[in-house]
Amino acid sequence: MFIAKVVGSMVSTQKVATMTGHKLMMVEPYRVDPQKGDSLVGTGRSFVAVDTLGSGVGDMVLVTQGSSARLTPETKSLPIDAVVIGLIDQVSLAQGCIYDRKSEQ
Amino acid sequence: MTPALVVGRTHATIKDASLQGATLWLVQPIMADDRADGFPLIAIDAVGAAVGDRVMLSSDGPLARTRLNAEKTPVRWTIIGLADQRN
Amino acid sequence: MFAIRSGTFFGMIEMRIGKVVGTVTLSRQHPTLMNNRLRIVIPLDLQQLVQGPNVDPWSSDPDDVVIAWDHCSAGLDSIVALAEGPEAAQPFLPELKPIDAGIAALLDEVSVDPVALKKIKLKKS
Repeated sequence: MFIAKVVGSMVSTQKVATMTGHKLMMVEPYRVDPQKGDSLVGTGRSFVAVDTLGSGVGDMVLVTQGSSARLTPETKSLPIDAVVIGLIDQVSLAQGCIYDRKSEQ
Repeated sequence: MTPALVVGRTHATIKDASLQGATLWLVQPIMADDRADGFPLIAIDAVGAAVGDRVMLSSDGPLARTRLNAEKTPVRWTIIGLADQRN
Repeated sequence: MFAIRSGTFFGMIEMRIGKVVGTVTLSRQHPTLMNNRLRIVIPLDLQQLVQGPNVDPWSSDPDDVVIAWDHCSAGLDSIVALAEGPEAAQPFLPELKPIDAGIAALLDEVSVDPVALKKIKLKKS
């Protein structure tokens, strides 16, 4: 799994029939700042992920990728490889908390 | 399949139930000129490999499950052959 | 996570060794993921493994940090076996959980043979 920030949503009218009714979000993977290790920094890349939880733009989420994305009742018949499985509350390293959802809002 | 070199072994007390009694080998995938290719991996053995051997790895899930005699296991990489000699 | 390597498949079918550096908690999660314990794990390369259990996982500018489901009650600084790809969800079968990384074993010892090590060129391409 990896940490990502929801940066937008994707609307697609013409798509594979089984995808109808699923919310698609644009997410940017984040990683721990390798120099300082005290914050999360963006990677500049983007993925489209199916959202089953109702996340919004600006939320930090946890994304599963690969064929594991199909291991839920909602997504098992979908041709997808990324799914949002959780909204992140806190990220903690040895030196303490580096991301807290409450303080970001 | 991937060529690799057995570089060591690991020991674990707390582990997935399917790994009880299995030796977890530390293998490093290598390129044709012996450069390390990516991260070292943990693999189980199906042929009797030893540390220092050049081997070939397979990521066949059913084989790993057969070797470990388990219906479910997080292991996938299995040593399925030893290289006779270098080309 | 974002690199495509020649030795392994794109589908992240791997079991690497990593060091636990932190924890992630969720405020909302998929219903199948209740009671989750998630650890932040940095995979170690061969040069780092040679340095033993006190290795600094940040020393090689880690490109990928993996968030893994903790099956083994790993703590901070534990050296663990990291199951990645669909295999990570296997211990839960027949229950389906959307997990692509899990801690499969808590490694007490990782021994690297110095003679075998000499057969490998460690220099980066």
